[in-house]
Amino acid sequence: MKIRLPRRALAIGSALALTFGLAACSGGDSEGGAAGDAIVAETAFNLKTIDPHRQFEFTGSTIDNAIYQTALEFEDGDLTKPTDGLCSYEMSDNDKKMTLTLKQKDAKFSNGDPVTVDDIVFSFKRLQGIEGNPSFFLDGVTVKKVDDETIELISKNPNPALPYILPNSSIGIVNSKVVKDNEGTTDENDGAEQFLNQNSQGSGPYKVETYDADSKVVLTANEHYNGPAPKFSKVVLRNVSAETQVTDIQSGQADVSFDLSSDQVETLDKNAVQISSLPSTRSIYIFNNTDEEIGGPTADPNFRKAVASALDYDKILDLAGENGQRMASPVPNEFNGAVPKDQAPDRDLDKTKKLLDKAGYDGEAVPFHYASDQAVNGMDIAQLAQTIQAQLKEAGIKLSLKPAPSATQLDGFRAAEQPMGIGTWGADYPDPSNYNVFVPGGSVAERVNWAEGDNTEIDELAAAATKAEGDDRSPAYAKLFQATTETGIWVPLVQPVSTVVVSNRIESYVSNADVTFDFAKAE
Amino acid sequence: MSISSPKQPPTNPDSTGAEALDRNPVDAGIKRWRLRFPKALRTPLGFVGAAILLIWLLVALFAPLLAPFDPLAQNFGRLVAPDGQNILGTDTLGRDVFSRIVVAARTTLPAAVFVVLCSAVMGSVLGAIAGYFGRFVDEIIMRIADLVFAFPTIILAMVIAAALGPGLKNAIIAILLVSWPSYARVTRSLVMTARSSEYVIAGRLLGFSAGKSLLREIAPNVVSPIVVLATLDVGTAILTMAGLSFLSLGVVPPTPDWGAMISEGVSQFSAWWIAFFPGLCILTIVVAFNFIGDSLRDTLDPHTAQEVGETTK
Repeated sequence: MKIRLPRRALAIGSALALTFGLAACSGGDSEGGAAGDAIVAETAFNLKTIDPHRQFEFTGSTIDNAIYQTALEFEDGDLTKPTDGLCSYEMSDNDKKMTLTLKQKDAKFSNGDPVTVDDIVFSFKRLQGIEGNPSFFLDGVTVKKVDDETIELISKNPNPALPYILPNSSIGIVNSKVVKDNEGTTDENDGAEQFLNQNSQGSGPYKVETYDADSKVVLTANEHYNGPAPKFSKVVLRNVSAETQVTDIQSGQADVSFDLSSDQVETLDKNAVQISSLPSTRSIYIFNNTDEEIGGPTADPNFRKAVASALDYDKILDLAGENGQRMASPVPNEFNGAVPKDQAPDRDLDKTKKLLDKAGYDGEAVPFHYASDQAVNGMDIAQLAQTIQAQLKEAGIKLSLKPAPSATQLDGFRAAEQPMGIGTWGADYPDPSNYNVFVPGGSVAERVNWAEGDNTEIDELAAAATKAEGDDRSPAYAKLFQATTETGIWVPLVQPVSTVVVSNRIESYVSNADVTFDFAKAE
Repeated sequence: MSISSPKQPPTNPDSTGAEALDRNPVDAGIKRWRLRFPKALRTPLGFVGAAILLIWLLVALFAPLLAPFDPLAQNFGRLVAPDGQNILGTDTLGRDVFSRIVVAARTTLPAAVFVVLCSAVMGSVLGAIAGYFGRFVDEIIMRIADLVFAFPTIILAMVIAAALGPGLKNAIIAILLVSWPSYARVTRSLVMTARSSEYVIAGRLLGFSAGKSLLREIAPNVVSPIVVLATLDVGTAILTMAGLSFLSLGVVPPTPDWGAMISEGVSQFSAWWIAFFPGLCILTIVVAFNFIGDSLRDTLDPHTAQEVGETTK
């Protein structure tokens, strides 16, 4: 006997079968959402490599912070005080010699090998020799093994910044034996990058499980880690745009979001998530070219000072969101050598008018260059440029906006061809000497044609700051950067906020200016 | 080859008896075009399209009167939702979205029409030369056209705009350079057909120069499909311009522009009004031009309309 099912019943049956079939297919991906012993973090990837000695981007550094230990560290994110990491340290009186002594003798790499002085020496030499982006960290430093517990770092010139440089995740310590076995060398012939991307060789709390620079990096706990075992045995870092991160963090698909702007954070349900606002280590400033042929009115100090007094800084702070900070120099407020932010200028349109009269500014439009596709800690540079243009217009200064993709804009800036515009600087290491680029003759100062000898007072202050030692360094640098900023060549605008949003599933976590989010300490 | 006396060019299937009796093909072509243009707008789609376009033209014309606030002034709170004061809300810099949308129509509409007119003229002239003279002239022009066709329009426009630098003028040049080949192709095929018509050959035998033959005899008979294509193309031009502005390659800020406004709104999902209303503007105006173009095609270019009808059946 033939059984005939009604057509509609067949259709419904097929649809149900298909639905269950698809559900079954998708059920295998346990990393799809935030659950169990995995912590899911999301960021818009800027990832080229996780070879510590080559990486110099936010994503790579976030991952390497979890994989590699460093010779020195910043305790609790205090960027003014480097402390012992794998080693303890001692600086000579003239700041030319640093002696590192292996302190954590129980530290082990992810394959169980102990961390030795040879590994540390190899890592420093590899960083220097392969000439990757972060190689400059140890420029002019000679690395010498003294014995099985001691290393000497000898600098040609006094190098008081060295303790602030060594905690960088780019100077992570790798297992020298394994890296050497996989084409790792300490010169340009090094071929271990691919190997290190897929098989990390660190002694930190995690190791790489899978690496895909376009979509996802998965880390698993390093069972040989000498510190407390991380609560989450797996970290999944996904490449997701900021807009999607907003929905994922709210729906529980993600535990940590790195890239939300202050406006996006405002829209979140504050009871459903935890928000950690950290001062960013980036500075946003206006640059003014000192060459009259290129800059026109910007070559006149009165015009530059008029710009500084014409800006409505409170409105600019609004764009950065809550906890954005004023800056009185290009140095972030938390660093040694920063000029106290209460010394930052305020808007004074009368003063602007007088200065413009003095400068003889005739209202000509000044080309104002900026990267139209860049956002610094969620702060949109294109919007900032439009705000500045509107504010200066109120004060009688006319800007003609010249947006360009960031690479193009940077090329023009580096070629010192731009009269005026917005620049950004991210600290390579938290020491004021990293900001010497802004003093005459420095690499950023050259982009506005400001050469050594153009301002003898500042040259003298720079020489004094370089010579200063110990506790004298901070005030000496503050004096230097105050004088530098008073020229109006740099008009510091804002120190933005780095916001990390964490889901309520994470009960406790550590997030600070050193490690944006410490996966190993999340519970 | 013997040539018979001049005959009438092929007439459209729906041509009236009076027009068919007209002995001068040039006058007949012009008269037919004039007679049918209003008829095109009398179809329901044509009427709706024309009405929407008329509204936008009025908006563009009276923008300074309609915009309640200065579109560049950052006088309001940031990201204020639509309310009594800012009827379409404010953007990330506290500017009135309604005022910006209204003023943006003044840039977008004339620029789109201008770019289409220029590319139609440029493409038609090149296509007519290629079709009429044939041989190596045809080869050179059409291979250049093929070269442009080989790239996706928006990608090529992006490359050109990026090379020239952002700005409305450069965006127009970029769109012009990528959109002329379609006119060249259509014109070339129409001219090639018309070229071998007996009335054209007869004209040449009577001593007409190539220019006169093209302008007086061929042009009136190929202009209708070009007009249809151009009308349909205005919508595409608006979309491409919005696309370039979206990618920061079009109008330079702070000048209001629909594409740039959508780009700004993309990162502000919760402030839906920033992107939604400019998107609606682009939608309505593109639909309006498409409606008008469709209606014009049905009336002026019945051959194509018939083909489209057959393929969709």
